[in-house]
Amino acid sequence: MNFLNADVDAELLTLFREIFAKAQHGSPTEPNGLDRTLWSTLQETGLSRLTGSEAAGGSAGTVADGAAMLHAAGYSAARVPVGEHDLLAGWLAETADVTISGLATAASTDSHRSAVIPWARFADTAMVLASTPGSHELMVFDTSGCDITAGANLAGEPRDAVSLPAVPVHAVTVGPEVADEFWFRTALLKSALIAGGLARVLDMCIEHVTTRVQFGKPIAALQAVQHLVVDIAAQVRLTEAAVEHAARQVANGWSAQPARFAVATARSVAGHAATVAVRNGHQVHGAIGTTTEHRLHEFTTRLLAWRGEGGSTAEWDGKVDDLVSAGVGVRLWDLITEGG
Amino acid sequence: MDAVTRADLAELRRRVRLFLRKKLDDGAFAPLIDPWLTGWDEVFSAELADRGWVGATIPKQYGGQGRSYVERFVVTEELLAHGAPVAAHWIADRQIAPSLLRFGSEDLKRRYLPDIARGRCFFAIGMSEPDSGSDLASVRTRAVQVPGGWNLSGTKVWTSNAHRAHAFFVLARTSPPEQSRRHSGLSQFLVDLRSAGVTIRPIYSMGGHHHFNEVHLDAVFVPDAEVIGTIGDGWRQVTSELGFERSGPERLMSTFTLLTEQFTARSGGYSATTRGQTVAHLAALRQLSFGVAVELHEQRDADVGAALVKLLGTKLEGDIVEDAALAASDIPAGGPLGEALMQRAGFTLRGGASEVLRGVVARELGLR
Repeated sequence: MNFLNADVDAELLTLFREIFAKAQHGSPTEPNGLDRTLWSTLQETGLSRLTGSEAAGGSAGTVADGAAMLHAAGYSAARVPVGEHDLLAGWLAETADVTISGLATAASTDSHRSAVIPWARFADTAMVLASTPGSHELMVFDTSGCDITAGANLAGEPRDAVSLPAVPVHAVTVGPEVADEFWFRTALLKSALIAGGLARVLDMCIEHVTTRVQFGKPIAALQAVQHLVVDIAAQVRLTEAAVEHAARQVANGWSAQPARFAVATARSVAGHAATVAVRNGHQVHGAIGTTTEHRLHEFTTRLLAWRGEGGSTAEWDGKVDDLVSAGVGVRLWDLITEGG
Repeated sequence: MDAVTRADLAELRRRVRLFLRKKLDDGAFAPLIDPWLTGWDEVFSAELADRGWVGATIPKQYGGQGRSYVERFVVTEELLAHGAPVAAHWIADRQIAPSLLRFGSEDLKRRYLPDIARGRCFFAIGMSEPDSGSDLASVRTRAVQVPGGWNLSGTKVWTSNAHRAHAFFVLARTSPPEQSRRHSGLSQFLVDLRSAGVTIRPIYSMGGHHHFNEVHLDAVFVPDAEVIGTIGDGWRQVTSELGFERSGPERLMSTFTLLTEQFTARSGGYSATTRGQTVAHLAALRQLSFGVAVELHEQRDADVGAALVKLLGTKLEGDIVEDAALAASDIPAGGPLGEALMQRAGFTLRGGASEVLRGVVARELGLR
């Protein structure tokens, strides 16, 4: 399956695949730490700031390019915060007109004192969007000045509790539209990662059921097993179609209703697709898939974690509903068909 | 996608939508559930044809518009989204015209395509038989060669709207299957439903409607000129068009008007999250379906995508009904929800049962 084949240059897709294929498993001592080799490669190739403008030192890729890269990252369970660095922190830095150096991460919080920040302990810079009633402030911190307590999501990915210093390196007031776009960017980031993770679970299932022999034949010969795998394939294609469409819709901005609808749709679909992939994926793998000896869990736990980050899946279902309800009558059909 | 731009499609969509909203305002039709099977309205079909929206993909030399498949996709999804009565021309427009264009003789194209494009010639499909459902290769209708043509005998079933259509395509056995190739020896014929020896018996659906029929053929003479394509090549001809049949908007939009009602009626229908999940699922599926349309437009292989659209789409059509039904009490017969509950069971059967579609995808994934 050729993800985003319509919108992304074939050579770029090949590059993503080749680079992320070299993603390393976690080491025994630091199973969930930063994959420094991969991160260096991403920096050297300019992919770490793929969607950034050239003026800001980025590679001027489209959001569709960025989504395709995140798909490759999700497919590899890559231990690099490339989405946080590029789509979130990089964008925030450009929006607030501040320069960042090193590995940057980003998070939103409702406090000026603390935040849970992905990959904070490996980052140089943390961009924190603090939203309190009626006010949104973007604060830039040097992580060496922060008190960081290591934390993790369901998959063990770094989600660190950070006490924020009273005085940030920079602080600017931003409008509510920035806080809003942050949510939608996070949603597309997670959706694209999930799409990649789903595709990997599917491939692992195909590999497993065609090689695992029981009753004297590969279990793929059993129709009940085939159907479990086919239902995962259906969710993979569905999620990829939704993410591809959303990435195209935001090309001209994230604030228009059809763009918001497309992103919320992708996020909802990705969240529910995880249900099928995780349950069916484990079912066909049998007991070995439930162990650390097999890599399946790296992907299934990530799917379960990602679909609950940046809002729960149910919240995104609700957001889809809100976007439709805000209009009247045939508004639903208008939103579905906007943009082709 | 070449030649047709997204702007062209948007403009076409705008015109179709404008027309349909005016028709709705005028009370020309009430939005239907499953309109492409149940909404037979010859006047409406002719009106659409006059605007170039029936047989749009038929080349101009045969009376059509020479439009692309993606343009047809836009027209048909607008019609279904508004619940318009499109059953009369549906089969001719979707299946018969493309088959004739691909496999029909020049004579057949000239005789039938202009009237299809005018919305005045309606077709049915004669594939299934009492003992041949999912296993289509087992058809027993026989065609025996006679001077000048063929005599067809057998029984076709689930032949939607045969009692109203002018003609139908019949899949029949012209020679015994070879040992290892059970799909060999099948051929396609164009049969006038008013021919001598044709008997049409209604089969009433559980909702009380008559759209299904059993069509009995008793030595019905079909001239050589009405053979579709090549004798013995029927299986390939039938299956090569499945992508078009399986991936279109009618595989996800049959109950769309029921979903829009959930937003307009505000009658304590399903919960907001369920509604949002359903809408998101539909929107994504529509993108997948559109993507398959583009693949077909570019003449790429789209069998897996098509099977997945139908698999997911027909399930979703049923889920929309189920969610509405779970949130309703005292559902009246004959209302939209009541109708939808009656029609629903057929969604995941017609055009390839879901179990069969899963098998198709499994094969493509290398599982069998």
